[in-house]
Amino acid sequence: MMKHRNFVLLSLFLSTVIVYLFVTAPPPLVTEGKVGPKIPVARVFEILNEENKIVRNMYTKDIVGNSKTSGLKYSEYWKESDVEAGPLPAQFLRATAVSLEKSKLRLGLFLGSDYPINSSNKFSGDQLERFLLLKQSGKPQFFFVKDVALYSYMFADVAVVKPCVECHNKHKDSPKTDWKLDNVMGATTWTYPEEYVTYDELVELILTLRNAFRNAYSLYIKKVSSFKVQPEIREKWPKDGYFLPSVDVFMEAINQKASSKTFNAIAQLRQNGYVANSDVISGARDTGKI
Amino acid sequence: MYLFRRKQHGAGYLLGIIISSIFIIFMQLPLSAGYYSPGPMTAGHENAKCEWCHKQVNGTLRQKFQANIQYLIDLRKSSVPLGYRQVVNDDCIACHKRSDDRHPVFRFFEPRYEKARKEIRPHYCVSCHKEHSGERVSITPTFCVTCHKNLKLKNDPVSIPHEELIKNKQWHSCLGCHDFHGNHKVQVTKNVKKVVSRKKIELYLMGGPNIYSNEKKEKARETPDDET
Repeated sequence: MMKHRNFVLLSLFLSTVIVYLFVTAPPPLVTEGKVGPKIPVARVFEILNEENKIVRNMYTKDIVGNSKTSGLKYSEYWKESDVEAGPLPAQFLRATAVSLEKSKLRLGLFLGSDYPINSSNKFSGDQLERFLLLKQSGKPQFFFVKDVALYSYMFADVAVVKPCVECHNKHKDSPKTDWKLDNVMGATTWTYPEEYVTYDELVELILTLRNAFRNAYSLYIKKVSSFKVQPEIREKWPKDGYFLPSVDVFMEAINQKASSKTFNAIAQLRQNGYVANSDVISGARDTGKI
Repeated sequence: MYLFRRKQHGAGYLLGIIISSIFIIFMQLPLSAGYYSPGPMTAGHENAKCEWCHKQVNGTLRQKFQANIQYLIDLRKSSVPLGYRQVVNDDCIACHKRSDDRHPVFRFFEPRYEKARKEIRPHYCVSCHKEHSGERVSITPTFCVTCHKNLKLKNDPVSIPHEELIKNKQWHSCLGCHDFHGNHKVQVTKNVKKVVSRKKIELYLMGGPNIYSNEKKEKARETPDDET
């Protein structure tokens, strides 16, 4: 009799719990409430990296690369109050990364090398192995960083203009002085905590990256305002002389150069049903990194 | 006799409920925060409010229960704390925004810092700045060894080269010249004889007098919502 009573009570209790937890469940917590197609983060990294490559090339070639014509200087010590100079391309990328960090998204952007000028940027461990593989195969490397649960994609950073090679070969702390044009001088590594993102998140990531470019360039323009003789900051570019494009002009140039590529990449994603590049994903799985 | 005992029991239960309720209400009041704070606040945080760092997770208690059960039976990727969530870097950065941090926490999320993450967890603010300990920095001041033991400078400007300092394992001397986050306006000395002594460094880390310049590049916000 007693056993029967306990059984009924337990059944009633469990039924109540099941109804409470599942049958009359309120909407799930917003943290897991993503809706829409799942876009593999590897594809997202490719789109973001293409944007970054365009901006990095533009800053290196059109701004820093024309320093002889413009008379503007670029130095690793550009932030010092007594130095009238702008950020070097690597520092421009670093400023972009700092701005990304301040956003709500957990998108990480890093630059490193096996022969960096600053030893703190030297690859080690798994990332060095990945970089050597990247140099050997010429293919970007997609992998999962277990201890921090981050998806990571590493892309080659190629010497696109003479100033990259000249500066790295001449620098007093450079551990390698025989760089040539088109050499893989390092790699850009992206990280993100999700394996898939929604369409809305993809758009937000692109906009956040664009905003980070704006913030990085704004820092340079702010610094220029402290120069004794300031260059004209409007529509003209350094190729025309002692000029710099304004932040809006700089951003418009990014828009013109990057937007069609980015749009095509998104359109292609939709056409293909938001599937991952199978080579990238299967490669990562084979190595047990995903 | 039986009725008298029952009444006694009832009164006992009632008294217990009343005392517990008063205790629970008292503990919710801001003035009682000091009773359950595990220790003194870090220098500069004396006026910080609990809720600036200790935040509830969004959602009702029922939603959180459901989320955790779903997590246990593999229907959800992550669990959810029922009360307060863990204090994260963003909570610190809300006041301590640094545009030019020499060692920003986010950098240590890069894959290559795996060894450093295992050893000293530099990717979290609280790894070095443990709150409620009364100390400014709660890590041994020789932590630089984790990342810089192979440091080599081609043109070392210091009177005793870095390589020699490293060879002699003088890791306590690093902070004598270098401000870890680089937020103090300070001219780094090239003369090792002028380096701040180990004792002064340790005192500073424990919350003692400043060993760097009092002039800061970026001041911390007064409150996380302060937009100035």
